[in-house]
Amino acid sequence: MAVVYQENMGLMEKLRILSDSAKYDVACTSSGVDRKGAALNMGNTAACGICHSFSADGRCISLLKILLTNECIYDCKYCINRSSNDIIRTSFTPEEVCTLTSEFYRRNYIEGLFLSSGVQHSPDRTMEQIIKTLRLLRETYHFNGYIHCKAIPGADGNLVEMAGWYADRMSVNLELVTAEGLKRLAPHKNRKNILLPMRKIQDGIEEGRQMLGFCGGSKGAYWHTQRRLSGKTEKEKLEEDTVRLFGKEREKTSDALDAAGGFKVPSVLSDSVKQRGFVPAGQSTQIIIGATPETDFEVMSVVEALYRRFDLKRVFYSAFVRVNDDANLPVLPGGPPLLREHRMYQADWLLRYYGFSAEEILTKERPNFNVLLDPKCNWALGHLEMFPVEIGRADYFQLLRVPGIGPKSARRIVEARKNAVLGFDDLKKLGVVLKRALYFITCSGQMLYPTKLEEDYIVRHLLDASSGKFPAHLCGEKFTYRQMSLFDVGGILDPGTGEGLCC
Amino acid sequence: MLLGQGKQNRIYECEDTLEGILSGIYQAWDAVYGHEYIHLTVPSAGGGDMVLFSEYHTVIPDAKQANKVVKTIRKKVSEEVCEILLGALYSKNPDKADAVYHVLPGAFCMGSRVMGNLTDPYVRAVFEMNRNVQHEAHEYLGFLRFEEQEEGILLARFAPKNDLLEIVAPHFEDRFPEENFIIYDTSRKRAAFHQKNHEFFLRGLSEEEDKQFFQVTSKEMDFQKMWKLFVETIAVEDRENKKLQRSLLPYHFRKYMTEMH
Repeated sequence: MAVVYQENMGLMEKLRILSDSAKYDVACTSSGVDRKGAALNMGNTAACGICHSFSADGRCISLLKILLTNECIYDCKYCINRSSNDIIRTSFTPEEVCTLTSEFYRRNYIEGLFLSSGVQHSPDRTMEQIIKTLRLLRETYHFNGYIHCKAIPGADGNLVEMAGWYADRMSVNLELVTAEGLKRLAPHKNRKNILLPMRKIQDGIEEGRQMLGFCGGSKGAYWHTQRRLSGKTEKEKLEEDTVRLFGKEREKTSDALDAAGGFKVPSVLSDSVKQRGFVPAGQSTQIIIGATPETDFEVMSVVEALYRRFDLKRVFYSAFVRVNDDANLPVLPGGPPLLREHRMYQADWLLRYYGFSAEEILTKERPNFNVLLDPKCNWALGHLEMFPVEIGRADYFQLLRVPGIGPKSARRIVEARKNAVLGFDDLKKLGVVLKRALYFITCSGQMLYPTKLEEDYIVRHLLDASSGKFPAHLCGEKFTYRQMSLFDVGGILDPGTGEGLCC
Repeated sequence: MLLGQGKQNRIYECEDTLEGILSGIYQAWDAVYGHEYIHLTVPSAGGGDMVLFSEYHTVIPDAKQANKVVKTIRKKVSEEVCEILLGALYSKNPDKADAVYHVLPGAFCMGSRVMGNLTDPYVRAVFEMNRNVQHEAHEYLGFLRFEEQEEGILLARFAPKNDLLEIVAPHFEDRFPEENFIIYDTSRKRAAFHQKNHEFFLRGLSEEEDKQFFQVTSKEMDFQKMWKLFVETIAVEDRENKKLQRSLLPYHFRKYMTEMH
């Protein structure tokens, strides 16, 4: 008994160290794939994702987020695990990861595993360890829940692909949007190393879909929104994609990838693996906000390119937390730039669900988000010529552009107006935020109050209505409005040399 | 209301179960009394306020009648609308039976489009109730915690506001086909029992059975400790925000959550 206790203590200490070093990764979603449970197995997945708890910072806990090891040969300035840091290093064995995952899972603590890793010895060796762990978990422990794993930049394409057969979602962190930023803060990484595995996963998903049907990965919100905007059916858009991704246009840009060999379903895989499909929940990435001086416009342009050209499901934004003392890292007196991060997420939603483009949200002349107004309000105020919008007649995407109307309420409006003429009272019941929407809409030709369609007038009233009311996660005990504005001024200085995202 | 003026309202008192309310709907409908004069209630344990000038009918639950109602809605309206109406019947709201009853006349003439008619007060009430039920059920899919008892049985306790056992149990049955588990609604004193590779069933739980449930193993304690440690370390100190945590995970969910004690 004493021995077991000792072992558990060891596992406890490892868990403390390896979850502590994994916590700066933001992605913790368990969404994107619906998979039924099966006899002899443990687990299923829900497309909407399930949050299992919330930690003291208010972030969702859905997955057991750990590193396989915190040993790392790289020396990225912003990372707590960089090789030059003097911290305790340790590794899980694959068995330990499997035990923790399955025991946590059956108590319903978690939705699955998020496995990341420091780079031990070499990217290939690390990737092999990850694959070994995932295979053990899937095949020996019969774990059928959600798995998110990292593709290690610089690892062999075939290894990345192999991991994709065991994972539900994969991600490669872009971290910094400019090549120059990467060079300065992550000297061992480069654009190509990061984008190659990303492309490899994308190709795998596409070809997997063609070979295995839709279990080869569903499409993200950005894709569906663009499809609806262009009025195409799913089939038409998929065919168009195939031409774009594998046709002539593609050949010019991806010779490096072709050299790595084509994609085929490895023969060693069991039927259950093939049934699960290749990275069925798609891929995501993460960007650090505020470690380097790029503008919001540069970031959003890169993000848009990632959605369009790499078919990412999600991009996550991580307000920079200064964990290392390094001359190359900015000092942020107001703490992590949470408001900026929040605006990024808002803009991200506008890209994916509302059909906005990055150039509409921000411009070269006004490259940073408005501190006081959300990006959609900001856009609407710059385009007053398109308002007011008539609720009884405007189409879905026009409705979506009204501040205070989101995808849900827009859908409900379109549905409800088939049965009745909608008034302002009805709109409120349908979930429209009238205090914001009222300046921009008419019901049966009438506005709610006599208001002016004038930028200054609306701004003044919008700010009055929401005075002091920032979203809850920006108003923690430690957070004040003053701190936000202090940081936001700091962030605008010295814009870097942004370059387009290409490979 | 003045005496002698028009018809009296008729109130059907139903037992607060799916079967009870559906039987009530069947009997009220069958009476052909005029929908606007009919109301359905689910009296609370202490007995609710009586309304003057109304005749009261006590509904005796009847499985056959209940099944007929469900079948008819499925066939004549649609699967989805039926799911929404049944979802609303799990609600904590005492007006649920009445709202569902009064959606039906519209449903039979509009068909599956009826739930789009959100300006109708009954449709909206049903919509809200179902949404509230589904939302709480979804939260508990994540917030429920199992504790391993002797012999490896997993026990989860919870005290939801709506009656959720029948909604959450299928999810866990699908997830843990190989486990023996019990999900126990401590406020309604009912539990879902799942035996390995069998279908789950529901039944009431007596006080004595309730008391037997505190035999967790030492292995269980180790994993609870590790889980608490994980929840603690995974938070980023520089971003601490208890207010946000509270709004996303309100206190009433935390009662049986391992990591919150």
